[in-house]
Order: sequence, then structure tokens, then C-alpha cells
Amino acid sequence: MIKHIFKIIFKNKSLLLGSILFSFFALICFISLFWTPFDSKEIFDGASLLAPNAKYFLGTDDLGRDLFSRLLVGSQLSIGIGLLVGGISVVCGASLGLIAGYFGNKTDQILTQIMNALQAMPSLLLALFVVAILGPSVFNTILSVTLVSIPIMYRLVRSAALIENSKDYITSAKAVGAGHFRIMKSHLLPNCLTPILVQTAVCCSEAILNTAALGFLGLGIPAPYPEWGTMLSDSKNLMETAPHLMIWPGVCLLLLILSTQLISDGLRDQLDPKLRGR
Amino acid sequence: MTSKLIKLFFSFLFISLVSFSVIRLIPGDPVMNMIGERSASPERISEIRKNLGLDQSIVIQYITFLKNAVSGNFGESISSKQSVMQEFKILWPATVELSVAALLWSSVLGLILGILAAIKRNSFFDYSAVSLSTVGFAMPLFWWGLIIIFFFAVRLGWFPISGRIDVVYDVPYATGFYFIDTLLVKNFDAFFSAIKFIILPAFVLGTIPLALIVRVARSAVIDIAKEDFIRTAKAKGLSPAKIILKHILKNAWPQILTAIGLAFGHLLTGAIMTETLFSWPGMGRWIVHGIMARDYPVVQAGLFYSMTMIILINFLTDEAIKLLNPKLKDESR
Amino acid sequence: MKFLISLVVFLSALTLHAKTANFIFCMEGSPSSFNPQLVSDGVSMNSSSQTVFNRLVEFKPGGTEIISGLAESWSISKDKKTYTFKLRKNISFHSNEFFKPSRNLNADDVIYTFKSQMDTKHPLAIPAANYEYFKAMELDQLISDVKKIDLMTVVIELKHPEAPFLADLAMDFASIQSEEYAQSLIKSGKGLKTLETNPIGTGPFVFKSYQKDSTVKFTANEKYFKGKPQIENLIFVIVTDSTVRAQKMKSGECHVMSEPQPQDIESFSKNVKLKVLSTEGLNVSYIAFNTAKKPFDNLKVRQALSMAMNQKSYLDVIYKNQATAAKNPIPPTMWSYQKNTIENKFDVAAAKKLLAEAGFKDGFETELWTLPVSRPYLPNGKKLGEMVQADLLKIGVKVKLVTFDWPTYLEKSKKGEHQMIQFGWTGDNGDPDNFMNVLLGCSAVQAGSNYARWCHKEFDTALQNAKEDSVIKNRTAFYQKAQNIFSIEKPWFPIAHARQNKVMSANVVGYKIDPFGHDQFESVSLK
Repeated sequence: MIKHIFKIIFKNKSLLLGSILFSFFALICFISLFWTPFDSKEIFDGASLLAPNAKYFLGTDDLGRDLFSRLLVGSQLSIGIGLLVGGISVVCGASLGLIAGYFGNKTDQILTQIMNALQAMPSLLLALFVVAILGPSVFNTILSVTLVSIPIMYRLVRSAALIENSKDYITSAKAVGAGHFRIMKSHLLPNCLTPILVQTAVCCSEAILNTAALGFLGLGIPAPYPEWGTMLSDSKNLMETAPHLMIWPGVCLLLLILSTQLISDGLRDQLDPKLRGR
Repeated sequence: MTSKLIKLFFSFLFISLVSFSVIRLIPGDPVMNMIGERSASPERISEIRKNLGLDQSIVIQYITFLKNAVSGNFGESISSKQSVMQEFKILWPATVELSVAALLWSSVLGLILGILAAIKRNSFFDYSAVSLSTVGFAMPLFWWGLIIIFFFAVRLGWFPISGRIDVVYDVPYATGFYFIDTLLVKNFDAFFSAIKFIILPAFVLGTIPLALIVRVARSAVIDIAKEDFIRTAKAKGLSPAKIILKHILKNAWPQILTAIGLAFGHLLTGAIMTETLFSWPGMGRWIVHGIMARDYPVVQAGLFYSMTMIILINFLTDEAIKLLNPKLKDESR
Repeated sequence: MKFLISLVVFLSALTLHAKTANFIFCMEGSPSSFNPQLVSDGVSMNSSSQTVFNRLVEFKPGGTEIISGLAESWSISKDKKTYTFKLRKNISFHSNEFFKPSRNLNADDVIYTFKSQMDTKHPLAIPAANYEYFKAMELDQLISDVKKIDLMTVVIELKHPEAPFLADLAMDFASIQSEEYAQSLIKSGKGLKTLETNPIGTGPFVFKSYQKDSTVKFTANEKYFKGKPQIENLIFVIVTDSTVRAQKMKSGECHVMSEPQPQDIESFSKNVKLKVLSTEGLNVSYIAFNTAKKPFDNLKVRQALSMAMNQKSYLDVIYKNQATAAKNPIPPTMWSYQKNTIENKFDVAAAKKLLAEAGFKDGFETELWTLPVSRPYLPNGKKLGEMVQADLLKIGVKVKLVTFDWPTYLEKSKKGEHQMIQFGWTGDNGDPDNFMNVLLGCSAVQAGSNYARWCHKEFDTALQNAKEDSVIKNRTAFYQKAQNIFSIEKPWFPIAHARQNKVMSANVVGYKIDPFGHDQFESVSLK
């Protein structure tokens, strides 16, 4: 089984590249849980705005904290939130989508109306409102970012489920008198797995991006957590004197988002035979 | 069709409710923003609230809002005392101008790159185009914008840092679109100044649509190229250029148009960030400022209009897709 | 020959009055209104009272001395309750698309200006306007009547003598408005609200247009009574982001900018194309301990925390030394400043010991509210918070940083919901009472602006005594006593008095930095 997965990964270039990049970040994240060169919160006296040097590998920020350590710790937030939001939106979005697709009619209409409403607002604006209403915190950031990604997941799963639902095997299962939950679990879900898997990766990357965007607008995760978007927004005052502060968090963010998108592209190619070879 | 219109009507009612309530759900009183560090007696505060019409019950406030919305009157901005309608009239062309500029360059370049990549499939050019599009799609706009400003405006000084037109020019309001208004009064200096100012923000804003369009154009062309009639055409010995122009593009354009419609949705979200980064006086920045200052009328109207715009665009693209592509009818929704 | 002379005169005139076509001032925010009676922020005052309007008497540019404005001369009666003003002749108001003045300034305009602010039922009072500033200065309690003696003479009668009254008349809200304009707005149906969007005054510049969050444009007033200003088109560009403002300044897109960030000052001073004018600011920033809450009611805790905070590093990093260290609630440039109070001593070991004595051997957990906006007295609250957090952790005090949006921050802190909080103050009339009573008086606990919620009997008595006395020497003694008490009791950790900096192109001439923080352009030009 595992061998099989590896085989697939090595055959698919996007998946391979994405997996390598993501594993790299995951490794960094894991290491940073136990070790960083310096404490990411510690302010070193007289070490404000140092350029990269032997002691501080990527230099220091304006308060005199080690940038490299902060980047490492920041990966925990981005990856953690990305995975968590991906997970929650799978559970909520996919199950709601299945329910809507399976039951159809009123249930479908009501759910779809709600999701459409959530999508009517530009996603960043919706997240901005949620955080503005509830106040900035780690939990509220996750909540707002999840709320943005659930409807996307919902729409995809729903339309996949709708198509499956009209097929004969479901009709016959219904005729035999199988329970709703069983049909959804053992018939609908396996057949909708492809869009769910692909979309999970997409949600993950959207979550990472939106978290950073909120941080950049000053409504992100509060200090002293070194969130990459917040680090970027802090460094824009200093772009002329200390460009390294602006470059690195952005590069990390770009590569992490890129890795999740490569994975989702790869999965799509791999799992959706119609699209293979593009 | 009538049921669709009824649905649309309810959508409007719903967005009116949303745009009315979200700003009121945010803690923080616009009055406190006006008072600042200074102290104010409770009587004074309630007096100001009364003047802003905030002392009435929520229901009455909502009804007033609805009544006014129908007649297109959204009241006055709390922070500037100007009519919200008046402000909107000036700001929306700015957003549209920027979005159109971004869409224009990204679709033209995207189509060219995408089609070329499809023709030279699996070549170095193809790989670079696909990789670039993948990276572009993953680009965090706010960081990209900062980098672009840093290099092209601050370091090299080729372009202005922010704004929409050089402040010394006075463009009389006719349509609100600077590219039209400057030509109407034959002020060519102002026209070129507007071009100079729009280049960087439009470039940044167009990055993601570009990535999207390259991808879609490429795969659409590849798809069609597989079809039988293309093979027949090839067999007949038609030149590749002719095949592409005549047959492939003719059949691929519904897909491409859909992608451009989709890109427009991305643009409106991207506009919030881009406008904030470049101090572009458009709706995105207006709403974000309004949220920060708890400017109820501005946020109400801004949200109402932008949500209406998105719903209408979605509605129209959906209908257009169905018209263009009857196959999709039963599949999507 | 005659021709030659006239040519020379013409040429010299050209060189002497080199006109400045466009002058660009980049400011940090958008004006809230163009009616100076209704505004209280610097940006709005710059865009209205300082450019478009004049007052009966005015502050001398760059100083606090009172000079003649629209009143040519004035006299004060013996009982100090009657002020008589003689108005200047031939002063005309501006005109705009829908208003052309048919007469010059006269006593009616002055009477209208004051009476509409005194009496909300005045027919020309803007409906639903509060006239905040007028009331805040308690002029509605002080003025008993404003009377017309003849066309060019006005008398203002007071209920009781008040020494700073003349200075009050030089403040922004007392700008003289045109009565004829107000009447015409009512007649034409445009309504008095138009006064907030289309101001008509007598000042050096005529209001031309405002595009929200973008630009305010003015043109020179040809008929200005002190002579036409050299700047032809004055343009205020609104750039809220201080980074962008700095970049625009460097790239030459601005001639003068407001509110530069401390970290940019050094690079500005090095830049040969720019120059920096600077002066001591009339402000203070501080961290207030909420003395109504445990454990901050304990003096030893307040002392311990103060000793654990490295004030010098805050000045270095946050203010980039564009500030002086604070130890008293008032800035050193203000009269009655107590030089002899002891400076805060940074000593982590002693702080630990004190904390243990207070019963917190292992420290405690608390909150620090950080300022969500950049203010002249504190450029970056969040970063200061992170530094304080790191400092206090060293004595075992775990600080959680809390912040809200600005309006919520104000609302909650006025109710005293905080534990430790960052705040600051910018003085508006140069009197110590304006700092100490407003921020630390017992009555201010109720009003909300005493964020330490500290009511100290002896301190408050000293303030009240000082307020009732009119002899400066006595008042000084009272205020110095109050500062001694403050220094011992430590309701605040005073941080800094930030310097006021203005950055401009090297070729700007005639700009004078204003002690009240206004920006005035009537005698400014470009070399």
C-alpha cells in the first residue's frame, strides 16, 4: 500500500515537488517545536535591525529578536492553521454537501442559499468582518478562515453527490431499504472522495493565505506569536533599512502555499482520469 | 425565469440585511472614535448618538436603511459628512478602471502564453509557462505588491508609489473614469499621468488572473486538439496556424470566457488588498477604512453595492455559460 | 529709459515674488469636516481654520503670543468683563460656485459666529451640531452676550473675568464665518450642512475641492488682507500609511509631510534633498496601572513593575531617541515642571525583591492593553507592548497583550476594564491643569480619562488649590507638590515626551513649526 503511494508520488511531478516542499516545512515545524537557535520572543539588547551574520543567521528585527527563530516558529502557526482548517472544512463542508446532494429538495435549497450568502462577500472581507466582530485571537482567526473555506468545499461535494445520487446503484440501494447514513457513507462518500481530497489541499492553501492576509491588515494573530503575515506588515515600515525582514517571511509564505497547491494539482491529475495528462 | 427573478429579489433582501447588520455586530461605537482620548459626559455621548440616528431601535434603523436604499440614498458618511452616494459615484469607477486594466493585460498575455504553451506542448517554453502560472497562482498579493513597490517605485523610481493620478491635475468629473475624463477635456498630460499611476497596481492585481488564464487557455486548446475534427483537419493537411485560429479557438472560447468571468471574481477580492497597498481611491479601500472607523453608512452601502455586483456577475456568467455551453446545463447545479 | 526702468522693476519683481505653482503637503489622515467649529483633530484644523479662515485675534506664527487678526484693535474694560473689538475694513469673504459675497466682513459675521455656537436654537445654528470645542472650553458658561456697537465694532461681555479668554478667541473653533453665506444656504435650500463640506472664509487660501481619502485642494486668495500667498495651488494629499508617506517624501512627491515615524528621522536628516525641523512636543505617553484593581492597588507592586521596565530601551527602539524620557506627568517645557523628582531606576533584582515583599514571590499573570493606533506620543503601541512583555517576564510577571480597535479600546478603558494600559496625551492649551487634572484628578475617574483610576486626596487638593489661584508662583508650588506625590505613588509608568518633527524638501522656505502642531502655509514658498 505505502509502496503504491510512493510509486504514484514519484510518477507525478507536481505531487512529488509539492510533497517534498511540504515535508520540508513540516520538518521545520516539527524541529521548531523542540529547538530553535534562539527564543523567538527574546529581545536582545542592542541587537536591533542587524543584517544577516554568523550569530543571527537571517539577521534580527527592529526590536532585536532573531528572525530565523521567528520564521521557524511562524511555520507552526501557518501549517497548523492550514491543516486544521483543511480538516474542519472537510468534516463540515463535505458532510453538509453530502447531505444536500443526497436529500435534495428543501434541505438542499436551504443549505445552498446559506452557502451562497457566505460566498456573496469577497472572502477576505468576510474573514475581516468575523475577526473585527470577535476580536483578534488564534481561535477567531481559525474560525473566520474556516467560515470562508466551508462553502467552497460544500459546493464541490454537493455537485459531485448530486450526480452520483441520480445513478442507478443509489436508487437500487434506496429501494432495498438501506439507511440514509449507510448509503451516504458507503456509496456516496467513496465516489465523491476525489473532489474532497483535491479540495482539502485547496482549502489548506487558502487558509494559510487568508491567515497571513489578516495578519497583514493588522487583524491577525496577536503578539508575541510570530505569524508570517504580521511579520510582513511590521517590516514594511523598514523595507529600505532592512529588506531582509520583508523578503524572508514572504518567501516562506509563497513556498508553503505553492507546496499545497502543487499537491492539489497533483492529486487532481492523479485521481481524475478525465483530466490526466494536461 | 420568474422564479429566478424572485430568487434574485430575495438575495437582494438578504444582502441588505447582511450589509446592515455586520457593521453593527462589530463592537465599538462610532461616537467613541470621534471623542478620542478626551473625556465626554454620558449626556454628550447620547446627544451625538441621537444626531447620528443611532438612538433608534435596530428595526427602525433597518427600515429607514431599506427605504433609503431603494431611493439610492444611503445617508452621510460619519467620518467625512459627505453623501455616501456621492462618494460611491466617484469611487466605483476607480475600482472598475483598475480591475479592467488588470483583466485586460492578464487576459491578453494569458491567452498568448497559454495557447503557445499548448502548441509547443512539453517543450521548455511549456514547462516555464506552466511553472510561472503555478507560482503566480500561489502568490500572496500583499507581499508581491510590497516587493513590486520596493523595486519599481522606491529603488528604481520609475513609477509613483501610490495614488491614481498626479495630484496637480484636476480632472473634471464626467464619467469618473480617468482614462475617459482626461480625454474628454483633451488633457493629454493628465491622461499619461493616469497611465503611469495605473501600471504597478494593475500589474500586481493581474498576477493571479494571468496564472488562471494561462492554465485554462492551455488546457482548453489541448482538449479541443484531441477532438476528431481537428485530426481530420490535420489529415487534410491544413497548416497548424490555420487550425488553431479557425478551429481550436472557435471551440475553446466558451471555456476561456468562463475562466475570465471567474477571474473577475478574484479581481474584486484582490482589489481590497491592492487598493490598500497602493492607496488607490476605490471601493475596497473605502470599505476597509469604513470598517476601521465604524462608519456605518459607508460600510452598509459599500457592502450592499459590492455584494450586488458579485451576485449579478455570478448570475450573468452562469447564464452566459449555459447559453454558450449547453452540455454543462445539467451538470452544474 | 522709462522702458528700461520698468523692465528692471518687472524682472526684480519676478525674482522677488517667484511664485510657487503647486505645493504639496502630505498629511496623515482625512479631515472630518471643513467647519472649524465642529472639529477637534489636527488634520481637520489644518484643512479649515488654518488655511481658509481667520479669527478676531490670532497666535503669532510659530509662537503662542497673541496678535491682531480680523480685529484691528481691541480693548478690555477695567472689570475685565467687557471686550471691545474694532474690525478691519475691506475684508472680503471667498466665493465659490454658488456663493458670491455682496458685502465685506462686518459685525454681523462676528455675532453670528459666536451666537450660533452659544445657542442651539439660533436660526443659523447647524441643526444637530454639538459645537463640542466651544462647550469644552466652557465658553457657553462664560460669555453672557455678543453685541454690535456699530457696523465695525463688536462687544463681548463675560459673566466673570477669565485671564485666558483672549487666547480662547485665537483657537480654531472661533474662526469667523460669513453670516451672508449661511443665510444664502438656507435661502437656496442647500442647508447649513454645506458649511461642513464647502467652507467660505477670509483666510489665505480658498477651498477648491475635496476628494475623500485622497486630496484637498486650495487656491491662493488674491484679496487676502495680509497679501496674496506665494503658493498658487495648495494641495493636501492624504497618505495614511506612514511608510508610504516617507517614501513619497523621499521621491519628491511631497514638499512637506506630517507625522514622520521616529525610525525614519535619521535617514531624512542624512538626505541632502530634505530637511527636518523639530521641536519639543507638548505631550506624554505612559503605562497606567489600574489602581482600582488588585494587585495594582499595592504600591510595592507598582514600584516593582516600574523598576523592571527598561525605559531607556523603549526610547532607543520605539522612539529612536526622538523623545525625552518622562518622569512627571507634564513635559519639561511646561511651566511648573518639577526637576527634582527621582528618575525611574531600572533594577531587575530589586524589582524581584519588592515583588516578593508584596507577596508575589512567583510573580502573577496580568494584561497589558496596547494602543491600537499610532499617535504622536506613541508611534507603535504593539511593539512597546512586546518589549514590556519581555521585560516583565524576567521578574515572573506574565503579561498577556490585549488590544481592540480604537473605539472599543477607548470605550472599555473609560469604564476601567483594563489592568495595565498604554495611553498618552497631547496638551491643547499649555496649562498644567490640562494634563494633571484631566488625567489624574479625582473627577477624571468618573469622566473616564483617569486611566489609572487613581484618586489621591492630597494630590487632588493640590490641583484644586492651583486651579483657584491666579498667581503663577503659587500655582507652580502647588503643581510641583502634586508631581512629588505622583513620583512616590507611581500610578503610571511615564514613558516619554515625543519630539514633534516636520520633514520638508530642502527648497521649502518660510515654514515655521507651530507649538500647537498646526501646519500653516500662508508665508511658505519654494526656492
